[in-house]
Amino acid sequence: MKSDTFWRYATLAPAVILFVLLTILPLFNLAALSFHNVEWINREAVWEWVGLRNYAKLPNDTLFNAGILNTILFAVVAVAFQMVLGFWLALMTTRVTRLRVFYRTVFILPILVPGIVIGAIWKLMYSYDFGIINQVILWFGGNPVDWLGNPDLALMSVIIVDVWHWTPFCFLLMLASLESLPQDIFEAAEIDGARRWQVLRYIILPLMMPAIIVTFIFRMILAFKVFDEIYLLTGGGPGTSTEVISFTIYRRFFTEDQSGYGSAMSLATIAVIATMIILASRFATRKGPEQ
Amino acid sequence: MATVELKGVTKRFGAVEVITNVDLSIEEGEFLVLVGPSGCGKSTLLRMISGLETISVGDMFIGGKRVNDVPARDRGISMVFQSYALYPHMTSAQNMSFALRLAGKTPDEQSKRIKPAAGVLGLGDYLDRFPRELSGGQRQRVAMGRAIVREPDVFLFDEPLSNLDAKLRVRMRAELKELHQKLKTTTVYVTHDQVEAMTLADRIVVLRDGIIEQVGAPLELYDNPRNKFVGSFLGSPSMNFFDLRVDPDAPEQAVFADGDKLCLPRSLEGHSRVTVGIRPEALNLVAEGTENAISAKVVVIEPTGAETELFLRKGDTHIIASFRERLNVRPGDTVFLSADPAKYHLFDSTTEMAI
Amino acid sequence: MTDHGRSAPLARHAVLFGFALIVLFPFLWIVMASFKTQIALLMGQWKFSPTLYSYDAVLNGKTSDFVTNFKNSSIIAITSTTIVLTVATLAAFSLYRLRWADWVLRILLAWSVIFHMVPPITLAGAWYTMFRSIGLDNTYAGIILAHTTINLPMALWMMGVFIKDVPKELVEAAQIDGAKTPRVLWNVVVPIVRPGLAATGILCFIFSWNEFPVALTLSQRATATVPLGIGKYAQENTIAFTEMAAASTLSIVPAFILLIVAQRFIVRGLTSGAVK
Repeated sequence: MKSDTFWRYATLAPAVILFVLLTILPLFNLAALSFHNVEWINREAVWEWVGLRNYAKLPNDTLFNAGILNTILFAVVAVAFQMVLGFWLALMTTRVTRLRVFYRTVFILPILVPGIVIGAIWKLMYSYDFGIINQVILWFGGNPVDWLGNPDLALMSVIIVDVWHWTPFCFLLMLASLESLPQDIFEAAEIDGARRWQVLRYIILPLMMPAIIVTFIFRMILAFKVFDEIYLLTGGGPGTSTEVISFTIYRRFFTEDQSGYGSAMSLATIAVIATMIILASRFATRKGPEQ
Repeated sequence: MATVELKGVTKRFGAVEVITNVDLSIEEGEFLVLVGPSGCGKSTLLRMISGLETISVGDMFIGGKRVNDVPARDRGISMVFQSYALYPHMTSAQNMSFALRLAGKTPDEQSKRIKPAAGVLGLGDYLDRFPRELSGGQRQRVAMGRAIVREPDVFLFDEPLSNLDAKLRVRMRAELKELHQKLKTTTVYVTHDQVEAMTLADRIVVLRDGIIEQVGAPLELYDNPRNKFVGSFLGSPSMNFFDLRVDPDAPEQAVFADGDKLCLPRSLEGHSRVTVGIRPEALNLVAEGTENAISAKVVVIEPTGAETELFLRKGDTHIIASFRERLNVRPGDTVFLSADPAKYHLFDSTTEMAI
Repeated sequence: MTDHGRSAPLARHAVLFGFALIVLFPFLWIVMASFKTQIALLMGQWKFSPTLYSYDAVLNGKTSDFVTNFKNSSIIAITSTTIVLTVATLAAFSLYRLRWADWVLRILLAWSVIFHMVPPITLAGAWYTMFRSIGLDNTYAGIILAHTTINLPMALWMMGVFIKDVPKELVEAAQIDGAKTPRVLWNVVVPIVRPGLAATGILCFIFSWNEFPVALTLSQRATATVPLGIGKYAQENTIAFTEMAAASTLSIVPAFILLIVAQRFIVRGLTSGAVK
């Protein structure tokens, strides 16, 4: 019994220690930093108490505001497109049984490629002078478009990259869910005289809801973390048109070496995301599971 | 071989008490069956003996030694699970020798123990197969082999036959009994199947809601159930019960709502009502007007070949009667049934205890 | 069931094939670009004589750190994957098979969910400060620890799913057979969840290999990973496009090999991760 108790603790301890040291302790560290201005002199941190001043600066920080706004815009638009496209493609291509392994390989590939490489690929493709997209436009007699340099287009261009990057993933999950639905239900609906859109509305959608929600949440979480593609494609520009929150924090904390202010921003971001999680789960539980 | 003794054993999961104050002593070499409906606590009790479940209150002794704080591996027990719990990545032989390997036995010693066990169980040809390559019955045997090779003081079985089909179950039941006669190891066996309990047990423990209802030899329980629950649980088809009025003027007579009367084996003075239990096979078809006969309407006839079962109705009461012979009756017929008063089981209508 | 007999109409095949082409084309294009000369790329030539110049520059160039990056990424991804697998398997086994109170399970899982949702960059600042004060900045250890932490929630859920699939009775049978906890884990549970370990390990490896922002903040030239190397090409004043393409192509190789040889595990991992 004694050795059992020992092992019970010993097996759980590494995970708990890791979590405490590398996620909880850093939160306190961030909190402490956020009340100070910190400067590094000869590898020694010099802390100067500034109270809440770092937090007071946040609402007037155009980068921070743009970052939050663009992140939400980016996540909502990109994920919406991925979900709808993925769902539609799954509906369109269910029952295609040939070349399965080939298709699966192709559609998993983008998920496994570093985000930075995705950025690199599209940086080449979006290039004003020689990118394939402008080449095609020229062939058709159009004028080349400055995809990443035009403030009105840049965020949309980034969203297109993300849609291209993640639609295959949404498609695969939707397809898996669609194909796991019991076939006899469709036959029963057919006998009941349901039209195609009625089958979609009353049978497919409700039955796939769990898979749709899971995919949606998974994608939203990742979309809020967007960094790599922005870093490589636009660096947040032009102006603040593609500034996203992760990038703002990186810029403030590391590029500009404002540890205290960057920490305040980090904590504020965590607070915003936590609030959204709580609101979302409240909303989800109030609406109740669709059965 | 060892005795197993439980003294005032109680188990709580949070606020829920699933085993209440159980006293039980199991003799050396005895085959004891714990039986009861699902949720009665029989599996929990077995798991407490095995050491997989802790004991909330009370003491447990195996071979005279208190084992409350002894881990499962040191209790000298081995267990056969309902799902067999064979290690899927090990062959039959490896499954059986795992415990020996852990105990530091040499490969020589291991095979010396496995061989006879495999022989007894007829597993000789299957030792190098993996569980997924075995049939249900073979898996069952490997699970038993794994229990045997440890040469335990006590065997524990948790519904070991319930995953087998009906035919195989009957065969394995017989094999199990034979095995016990050969090894004479103390055995505690859990089942919800009263036929298994009746056929296998030296003694049966009937459990309900974590409380022991009755302990005794199978036929003893069958013939003298201590209460209505035990009476109804053992025996198939199950005992018929009639809730009757005791005639205040002639307390040796019990009266049906429709006026039929039963002559009781003894006078029940002081009781106003009585529940009379009669086993289906105790009922006979008799001619109208026979003394002690009751009328009933035939609903369904089920010939099984060897036996014929009649499902009847008397007022709101359902009656089952079984006969060794074939019957010439049709649904809708009114027939007359009677039984030897010596085979009546009398229960108090409110406490449900035998009187 | 009935569908296997019925073949899909041609239009469906066409839609799927078109979709696959759209997904695949950029990859083909960048591989093609990596074999072009800078001039051929800038001229938008489709006919070109393939050259290994860019690969030579990436692998052997004096100013290129790519080989070092590759080595760093390998060390960091393999080590952090090993640690995260060990820690997550131990913890999942403990949580799901060693009878922890419900609240312990809930707190740990809830915390890992929350942490998983927060962009890692928000904690990177604190990691940087903490690591720097104990001398772990710009070391493998720092990045390995960070990657281990980032991947731990996912690994914990995945291993949890796989370990929950191991019947409780097997663990109990092993306990009765005389196995103490480490034996139960090593001789019974681990062999059974081996496919799950492979699935989890492959995903952790790939995510660590691909991770960019945290590696960016915690490393300098000596410990820079592959994504940092690629990022550097884009940061320079005159972007070396073909070299960026060559480095990108090379960086996909490990994931691509895994995708070909271990697709079964990757699919299993992605779906089980998504189930949660």
